[in-house]
Amino acid sequence: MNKKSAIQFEARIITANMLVSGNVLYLDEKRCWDENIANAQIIKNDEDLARLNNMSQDAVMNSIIVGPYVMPVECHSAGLQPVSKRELIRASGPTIPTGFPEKGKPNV
Amino acid sequence: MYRYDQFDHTIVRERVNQFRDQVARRLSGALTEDEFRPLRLMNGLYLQLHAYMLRVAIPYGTLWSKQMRMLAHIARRYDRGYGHFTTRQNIQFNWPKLEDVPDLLADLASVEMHAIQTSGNSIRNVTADHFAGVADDELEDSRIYAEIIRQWSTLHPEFSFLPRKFKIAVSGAPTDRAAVRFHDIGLQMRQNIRGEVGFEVLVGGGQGRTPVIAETIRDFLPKRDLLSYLEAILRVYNMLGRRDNIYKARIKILLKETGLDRFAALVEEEWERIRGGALDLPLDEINRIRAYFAPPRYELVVDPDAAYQAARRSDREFDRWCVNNVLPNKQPGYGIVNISLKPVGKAPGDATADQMDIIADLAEAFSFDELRVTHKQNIVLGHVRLADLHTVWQQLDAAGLATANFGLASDIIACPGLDYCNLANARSIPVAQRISERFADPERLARIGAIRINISGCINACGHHHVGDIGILGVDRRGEEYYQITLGGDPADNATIGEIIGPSFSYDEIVDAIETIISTYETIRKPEETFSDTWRRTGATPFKETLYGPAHN
Repeated sequence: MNKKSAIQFEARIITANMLVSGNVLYLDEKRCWDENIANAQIIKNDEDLARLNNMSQDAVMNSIIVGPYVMPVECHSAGLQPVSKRELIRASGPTIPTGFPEKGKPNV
Repeated sequence: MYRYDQFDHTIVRERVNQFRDQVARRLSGALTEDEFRPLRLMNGLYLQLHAYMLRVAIPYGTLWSKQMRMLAHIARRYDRGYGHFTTRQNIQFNWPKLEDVPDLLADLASVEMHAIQTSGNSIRNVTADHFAGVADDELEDSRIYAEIIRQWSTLHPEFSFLPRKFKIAVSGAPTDRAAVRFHDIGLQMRQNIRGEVGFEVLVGGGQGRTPVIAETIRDFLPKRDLLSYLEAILRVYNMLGRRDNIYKARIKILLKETGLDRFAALVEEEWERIRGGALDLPLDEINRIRAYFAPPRYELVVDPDAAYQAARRSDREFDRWCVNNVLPNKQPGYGIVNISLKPVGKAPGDATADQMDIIADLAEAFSFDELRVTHKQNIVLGHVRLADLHTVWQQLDAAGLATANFGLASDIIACPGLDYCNLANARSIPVAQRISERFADPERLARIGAIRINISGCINACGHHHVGDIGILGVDRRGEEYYQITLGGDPADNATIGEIIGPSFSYDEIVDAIETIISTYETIRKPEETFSDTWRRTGATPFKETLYGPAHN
């Protein structure tokens, strides 16, 4: 994995899996579910958290996503990066070549 | 090979239709995830890190060519062109879409396959000796009894919601190649003093966070009583097994809590109640199933094949492959071909759709249309004429399937690890790849000789690290991947749980640590010693000294 750039601040975002495909998704600034973590909406405060959680639950009820949860990220000059190895791999796909194009990935 | 009867076809077809309706209701929102999850798990469908994962059952690991071609078709049409053969003789597809799974299952059903009971708290795919029917040391073909158990356990109404998953393995030979001592129930075929063949029944084995070697609950069980005795064990477990704590729900924990004598008495009591009844297994029924596993029509090979011998003399790579990957079939003139799914630098157990097709073609042309998946994540062609070996090897070689490392240091067993699995703490596959690259030199592999390296990405131990000569367990240490090493494990007749050797190693350090262990073994072993022999003779001290320095002891 690539070396990280300097952390500017730590934050939280919301992630889930797409119901139909299981693909990893992030709730973005346009209130859409996006495969690219770079577009994820940062949770600014408790009110923001409540609002985004409600949006997530709506997406669950509408059979768009499954299993939403809040995850920590680091904000780098290059963009958002997950804190944990698990989320890093979840965001960027298997670290081993699969022989197929990989989905939208963070700058890790 | 066993072929479905009308009941099997109906059960599987109805199950596909049922799941198609369940998926439609989930996608429409009529079912919540909480409601749907147990239904999809009953059909082998998990939601992993990046996608759904479907685990397809391969009963006792045996396939015919048409089934392997269907797996290739599924890899191409519904997945990303490859599949992963597992340590329980199954195959996993890593990328199916939920909406496609009903069609995928319908395709599987067309070749007598399914994903039923590959997950959930049920009796899982029954595993067996991958050399069943071809090894010269066996009493009987273990697949006969694995198939009988499969029929009894599939959709068994009483055992569909056990306290926890339940795994059964059958070995038909005195040499245990099915790791029967590490299963919830292990069945080892034995001959009694009257010459009758039956089963030694072992119970309570397993790996995971609490590794336990199974204990013998019955020295000799007549074949006629097989199902009634299994039913009695399962019934006692189902009644008394814990359901309040997932970590204490396996039968091995119940056995520790009750003690073997008390548990055995309860089983006997139940068995006396039910034996000789509907579960009685008459010889006619055994013979009916036995007919499906009749030996193929071997040719009588009178003289050793001159062309085969000449090819071995002239082609060094072919000869190396014959030495490492081909074992004698009990039928003279035939060999057992072990196709390694462990090419250097590749993911252990993975095969592309094209490779699956080629293996299927070879099985059809040269091995009586039959092949087996091993719990060591390789493929076996059981009945190849020695005269055909060179042709088979050439075709395997062209497909990247002729790695001559069967049973050697780069024949590594590894779970999917953190690259795919939701439960994993650390990656397994890249560690296996790096170790195989380190030990890529065939001369070095030959010098080291047989050795088992097993890697699990978490304590659930799907990579069977507890029973490797060298076991590697991925752990999370403050968000970083670390690897704990165990030494001296053995899955077979001298069943042993590996011993933790010391502090864990980082992702960057682990390959050097394995190199140190193997170099130490090469230095201290006596002639003809296996790793197990050396470990038992020397204990941990020399390995600790080279890994951590003399001060560590």
